[in-house]
Amino acid sequence: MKRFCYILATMVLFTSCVKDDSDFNTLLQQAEDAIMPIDIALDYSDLTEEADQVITDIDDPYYNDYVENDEFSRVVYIHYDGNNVTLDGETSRVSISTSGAHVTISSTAGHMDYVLSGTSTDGSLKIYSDSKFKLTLNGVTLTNPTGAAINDQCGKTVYLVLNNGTSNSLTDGASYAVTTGEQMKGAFFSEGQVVVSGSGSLNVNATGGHGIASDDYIRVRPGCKINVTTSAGHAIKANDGIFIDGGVLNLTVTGDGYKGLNSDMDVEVKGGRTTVITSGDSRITEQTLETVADTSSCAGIKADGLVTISGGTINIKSTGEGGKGINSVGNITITGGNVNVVATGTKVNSSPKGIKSDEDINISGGKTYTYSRHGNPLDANGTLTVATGYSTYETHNHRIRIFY
Amino acid sequence: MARSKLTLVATLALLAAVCVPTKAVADDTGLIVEAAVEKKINKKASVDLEAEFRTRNDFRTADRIALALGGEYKLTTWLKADAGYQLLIDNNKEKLTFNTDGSYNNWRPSYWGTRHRFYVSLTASYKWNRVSFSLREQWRYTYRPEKTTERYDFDNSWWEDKAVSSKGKHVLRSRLKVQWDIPKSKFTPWASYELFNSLSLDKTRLQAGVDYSLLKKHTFTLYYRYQNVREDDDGEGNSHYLGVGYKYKF
Repeated sequence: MKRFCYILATMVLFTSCVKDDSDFNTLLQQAEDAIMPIDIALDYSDLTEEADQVITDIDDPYYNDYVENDEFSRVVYIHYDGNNVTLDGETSRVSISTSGAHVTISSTAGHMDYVLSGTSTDGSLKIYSDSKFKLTLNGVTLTNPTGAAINDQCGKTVYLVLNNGTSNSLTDGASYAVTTGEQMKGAFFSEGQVVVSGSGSLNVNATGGHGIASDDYIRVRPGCKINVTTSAGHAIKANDGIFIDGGVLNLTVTGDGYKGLNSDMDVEVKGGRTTVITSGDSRITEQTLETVADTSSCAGIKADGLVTISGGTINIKSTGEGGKGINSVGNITITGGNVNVVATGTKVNSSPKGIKSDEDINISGGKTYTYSRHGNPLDANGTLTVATGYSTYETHNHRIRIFY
Repeated sequence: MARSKLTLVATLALLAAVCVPTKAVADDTGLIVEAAVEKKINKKASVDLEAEFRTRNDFRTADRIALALGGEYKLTTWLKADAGYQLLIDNNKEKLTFNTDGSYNNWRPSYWGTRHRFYVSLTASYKWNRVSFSLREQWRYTYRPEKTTERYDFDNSWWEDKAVSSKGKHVLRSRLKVQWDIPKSKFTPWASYELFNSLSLDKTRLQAGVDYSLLKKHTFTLYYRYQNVREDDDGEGNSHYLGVGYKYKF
C-alpha cells in the first residue's frame, strides 16, 4: 500500500507541473495578424493625371499661382560645373555675384526666368528680387554644405518649374550659415509663395532643416514628381498653406516630431498621389520665452488650420511613438479621394492616432482607411460626421474603413 | 471475498459506463487526491483535518490545494451538524478578453491565489434495509481577497498590473447520497447528486464511488465525479474527475 501511495504521489506531482496557459508568443502573433494594416510604401510609379485647369479669371485669388498667366521672357541660364558656374542669357538685367559655385542674384527686374542646370557639390543659388520670377530646374544637382541649396529671399511668388523629363536634386548641409536678418529654413527655402509645376522630378535631401519650406504658401500642380527625405525637419513646410493640386509626392521623414506636410494654416489636397512615411518618435519641444514645453509628434499631414481632401490619393504611414497620420487643429473634411492612413507607433509621450482633429471631422465622399495600432484610428475632439450614402462603413478598435 | 471483488468490479464498470458516454469533447478531466484524519472526541462529536489536491487540463496541471479543519456533532441518531473552515489555494486559469471587433484585448496568465471558505451543514439520514439515504444541506461562504496580477494589454503592447478585486460568495449545496451496506464486505458503494445554488443554479455534481474500510480505522475511497457547470463565474468548466482518498480515524 505504501508503494502504491508513493507511486501515486510521484505521478501526481510529475504530471501536474504543466501549465495550461496559451503560448504568449502565439497570442502576440495572432493579435498582430488579426489587425495587420494595409501596406503603405513609397510609390515612384508614374501617375496619369488630368490636365491642370489653369485659372484664367484674373479676379480669382489664385490667378497669380499659374505661371501660364504671366510672361517670363527674360532668361538667365546658370550652369553648375563642380566649383564653377557658367552664366548666360540676359544677365545684364540683374546683378549676379559668384563665389565658386555659390551664386547670388539681386534683381529689380520683372519677368525673369532663371534656368538651372549642371552639378555642384559645393554650390547654391540665392535670389533677392523685387518681383515674382520663374525658377526653372533643367537637370540640376546642387549641394550646399553650409545651408540651403536654393534660398529665395523674395517675398513674392516663385514659379518652380521642373522641366519635362529632367531630374533635379537639392541637398542642404547639416548646419546652416544664416545671414543676419534673414531666414533659411530648408534645402529649398522661399520667403514667398512657391508654386511647383512641370513634369520633371525634384529630389530633395535635407539634413539641416526642412526639405521645401516657404514663409508663405506652397502649391504643387499636377505632373511634377517630388521626392523629399528629411532627418531634421519637415518634408514640406509652409506658413500660409499647402495646396496639393496634383503630382506625385514621396516624402520620407525620419526625425523625431517632424511632419510630411506641415502648414501653419490650411492643407488642401485635390489630386495627385502623396505618400508620406514618418518614422520618428514624439519629441518634447523646449520651453522658450514665447512658448511652453510641449510634445510634438510626427504626422503625415499636420495643419494648424483646416485639412480638406477632395481628390487624389494620400498614403501615410507613421511608425514612431505617438506618430499620427493626419493631425489638424481645425476641421478635417474629406469629400473625395483615397485616404489611407496607418499609424503603428506606441503611446508613451503622445497618443498615436490615424486621423485626428481638435475640432470636427466630416467625411462625405472618397475612400478613407485609417488605422492605429495603439490608439484611436479616427479621433475628433469635436464632432465626427459621416454622411449617409457610403457603401462601406466598418468600425473596429484599430481601424475604420469608410468608402463612398 | 469473492463478493467484495465482484462489488468492486461492478462499481468500476458502473463508473466507466457513466464516464465514457457523457464525456464531451470540451470537458476537462482531472484528478482529486484527498487525505484526512478524524479524531473522535466522544460518541457525538468529532473533529477532522483534511487535505486535497486537484488537477485539471487532463491531469496535467495543478488546479487546487486545499486544507480544511472541521467538526461534526450528532444532534440525533438521524441528524448531524458540522462546520468548518477551508483554505483554498487555487491556480486560477488564464483569462483572455476580446475587443468588440474580436481582436485580443487583454491576456492574464494563470496565477495562484487564495480563498477562505466557511461552511455549516446539516445532514439527515435514513436507512432502509441495507440502503442508506442522506440529504445534506450546506451553506458556505467563500471569500477571495484582492490580488494584484499581471496582464498583457494588446492595444498598448505592454504588461500592466491588474487588481483582481475581492469577492464573497454564498452558496447553498444540496446533496442526496445513497449508500449500499453490503453484508460482510469491506466495500461500500455509493452515489450522490448535488446541486450548487447561489442566486441561480451554479453547477451540479454527480459522483459514484466505493469506500474500502480496513480495521475500521482506515478508509480508502475511489470515485468518479462529473461536474456540470451552469453559471461559470470562477473560470470553471464541465469536468470529469477521478478521485482517490484516504481517511484515518482514531
